Amino acid sequence: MSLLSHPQAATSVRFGARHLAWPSRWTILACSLALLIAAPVISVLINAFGARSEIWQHLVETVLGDYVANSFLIMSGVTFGVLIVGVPAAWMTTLCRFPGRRLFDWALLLPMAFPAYVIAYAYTGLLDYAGPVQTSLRNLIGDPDGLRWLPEIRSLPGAIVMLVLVLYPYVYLLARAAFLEQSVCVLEVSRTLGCSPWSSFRRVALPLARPAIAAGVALALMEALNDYGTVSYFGINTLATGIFRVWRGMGDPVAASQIAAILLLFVFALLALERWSRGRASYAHSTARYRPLPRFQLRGWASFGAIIGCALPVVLGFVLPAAMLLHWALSSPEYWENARFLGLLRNSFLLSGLAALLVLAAAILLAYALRLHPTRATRMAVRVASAGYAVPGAVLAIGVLLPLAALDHALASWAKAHLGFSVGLIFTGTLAAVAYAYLARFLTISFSAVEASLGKITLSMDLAARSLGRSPGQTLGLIHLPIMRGTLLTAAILVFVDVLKELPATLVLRPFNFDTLATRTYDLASDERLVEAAGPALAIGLVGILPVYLLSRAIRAARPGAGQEI
Amino acid sequence: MQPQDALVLQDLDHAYDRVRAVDGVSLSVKAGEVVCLVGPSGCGKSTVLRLAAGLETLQSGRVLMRGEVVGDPATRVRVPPERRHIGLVFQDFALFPHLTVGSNVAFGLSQLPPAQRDARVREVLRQVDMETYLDTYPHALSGGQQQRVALARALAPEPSVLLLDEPFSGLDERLREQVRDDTLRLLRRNGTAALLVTHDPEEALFMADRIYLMRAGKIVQSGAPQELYYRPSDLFVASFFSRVNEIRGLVQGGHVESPVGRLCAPDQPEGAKVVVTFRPEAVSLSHAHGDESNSLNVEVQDTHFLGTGWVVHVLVKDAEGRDVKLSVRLHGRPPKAGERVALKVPPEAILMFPET
Repeated sequence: MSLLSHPQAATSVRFGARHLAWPSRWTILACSLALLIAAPVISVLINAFGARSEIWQHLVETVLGDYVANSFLIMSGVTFGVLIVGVPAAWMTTLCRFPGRRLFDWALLLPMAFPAYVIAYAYTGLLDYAGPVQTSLRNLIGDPDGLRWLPEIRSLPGAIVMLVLVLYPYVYLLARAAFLEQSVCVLEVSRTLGCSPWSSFRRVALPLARPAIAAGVALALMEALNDYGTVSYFGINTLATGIFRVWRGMGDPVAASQIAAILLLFVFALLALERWSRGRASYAHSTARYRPLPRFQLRGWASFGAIIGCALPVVLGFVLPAAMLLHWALSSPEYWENARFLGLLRNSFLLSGLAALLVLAAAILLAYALRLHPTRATRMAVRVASAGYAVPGAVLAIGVLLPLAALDHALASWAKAHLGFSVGLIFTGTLAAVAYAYLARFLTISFSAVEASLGKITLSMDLAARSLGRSPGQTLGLIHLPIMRGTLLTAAILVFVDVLKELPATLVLRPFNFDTLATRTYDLASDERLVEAAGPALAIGLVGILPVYLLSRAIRAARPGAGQEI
Repeated sequence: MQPQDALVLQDLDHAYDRVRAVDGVSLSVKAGEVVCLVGPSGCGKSTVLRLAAGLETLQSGRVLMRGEVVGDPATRVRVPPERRHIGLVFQDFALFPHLTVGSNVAFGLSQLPPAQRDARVREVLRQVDMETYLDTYPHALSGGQQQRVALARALAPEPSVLLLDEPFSGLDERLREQVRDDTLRLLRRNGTAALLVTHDPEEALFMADRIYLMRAGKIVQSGAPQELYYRPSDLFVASFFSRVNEIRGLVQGGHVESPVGRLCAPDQPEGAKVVVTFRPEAVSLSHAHGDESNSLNVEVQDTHFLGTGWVVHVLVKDAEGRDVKLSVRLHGRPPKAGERVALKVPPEAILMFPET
């Protein structure tokens, strides 16, 4: 068969040479996306520094100190707590042997299923004055008016405990990975040099894992700063609640932006800490040789201690609150066996599903643009776009709403002047506004997953498809997406669940009368209708187990030579 | 430029972050011709291939395919790879893991109606003897089979030119020869023009109608395999294709005194330092019979059995009295170590290059 007999060849003597379009469409798309995602933060900063607030001076003199101090106290308490819970648990499950270790390996992740505000409601119901614990204690001592001295759960320490119980898995996960990656040889050398198991942990394993642990703490603290539901329910004034109080309560968006800017300052510090520790973590990885971990057998009291140390976080962070919620839900099924609850489910699933798709599409676009044109502009765009996970929902809420409201007002007055009728508010209070905030906050999760998966596909695949006549876009659709479908599903699920749990941004940006599981739980709990809140709260927790399952599967597969335990 | 040239590269320059990877490279592949671009790793040969395919943005120079300009920064022409009608075969084969063998081969045939497409897929798979694997997924194939499917996939749309980037180095040694042979037969039968990039000189000699040898971004020499082998333009070319014996010498009175005799050096300037080279297989050894003109009485150092023959090492002294170890390839039984033999090199096998 000669070359010219080919039907394609005959028609394409003219290649239709395309002139250089530079920079490419993909780069432009990626940069626009990054700009869009950075816009809320930029608008907060512009508002904070660009305008004068009437009440700022007043705030500084009165409550601002409290906001900062409380936020700082929460960060300190959470740091201490997640370290105390997360690091020993990781150490024991990776390098020791005791009954139940395999169970705890993944069970320790369970508390991630609940957002802090949900277990806060459960514990309040359990522990406050009228709750079952105090009531039975009073009955026990036979003094119906006693035990007034018991600590109040709705307090700053109480909030810290709630946050620690759901956030320690970040430290546990990263510390666990770090311990697993450590060369056994290094540990063995330290033993032959005269270290006891305990001192080899203290002097070798812990210092090597320190960067990873620091990164875990940074992530936990970002979540702690993001928390709005717990602290507002417990009545603690932090920077996150302060934004809403000043903005909604005092009607001063500029002062609210200024508080948001202070919160961002905290966040940027954490972001720097996290980036720095991740960078250091790669140096701590001293050798590529792996061997099955020689686990240290714990006996007697040590074994008992290990079981308690691992069981307590799981019981307190998951089993107990879940049982409480389940008890409430089952005791009053009339609160959730109704159309209203189904409506909540539908709203939550619809919103989370849409957001997951949107975020996934954006992540694919960004990751693929980076693969096609790893130019400085694209890399910069990716960096900017993927910093959003650190920005608290409260900051995003104001950062999205202020510019959208301004846009709406501008459109409305333009319409009134030129069209002669009112168009009302177009963007504010729509699902699009909520989805925008989710995009900014949750892009990173799915981007990292997509980028890692894309990186595993050899570039020859792209070249092969291109040389066989497919454009970059077609190549993405025909080659990359099908190959990555497993990862894409995982990434979508992670975003889906995070959106379902998200509270502050949803609370502020949702359309009027649009309730989700999270907002309804919050509203009911705020009205002290805890039993009614149990249904939606439990639903959130149930969905939250999905990523726990995915994570536990991933970490089991992650270690080279896994399953060759002695 | 000939109208029948399948691919012409004119004066390509390419730099990565100010490091010159390709420096003034020009080459052409005629219709039906198999051309090898060979050179040590890092010489820029893969970049040339990527520039030809349009995978890399051309910085300077021109790329023409069948007489059409497909890449020229001067006139801002840049035909994307998917519209150049090239076939690409990679070291890692790059079969699409989520598609069957049949779908892989059909991937580049989307313009054909389904019936014709199926016929073409079967035809090409038959050519590479993989027709029975139509519905198999790539992961179930051996390396050699994957390579054949990759070749079939690239050939199916009948590309103007097939570009192969180290296509055989992912295969183990024994398989490689077989696959090379099959590939070459297939290219010949289809009359496909091919540009093959390899670091393996033996592969280039085996496959190529013409060879371009690259070093440090430049083409050092091009021509038929025998030409490069027997008339290398410099020491690098000579020693690239096989081991050569090298003896340093000095031009005096139009001649060079060397252990292998007094050699004529008409092209070298008086007093120049030169390297006298010859290949190990050009040397003959015979039992020493006392004085023989044009041969050298040497002592055998050691012998090594290679299966296909023997390598014998002998020590000689160069003009300045330094010891030089020479390699000799023999097919028959070698002399023993310590034996004295007469060493002879035919004058036509000796090449002389200025010392660098």
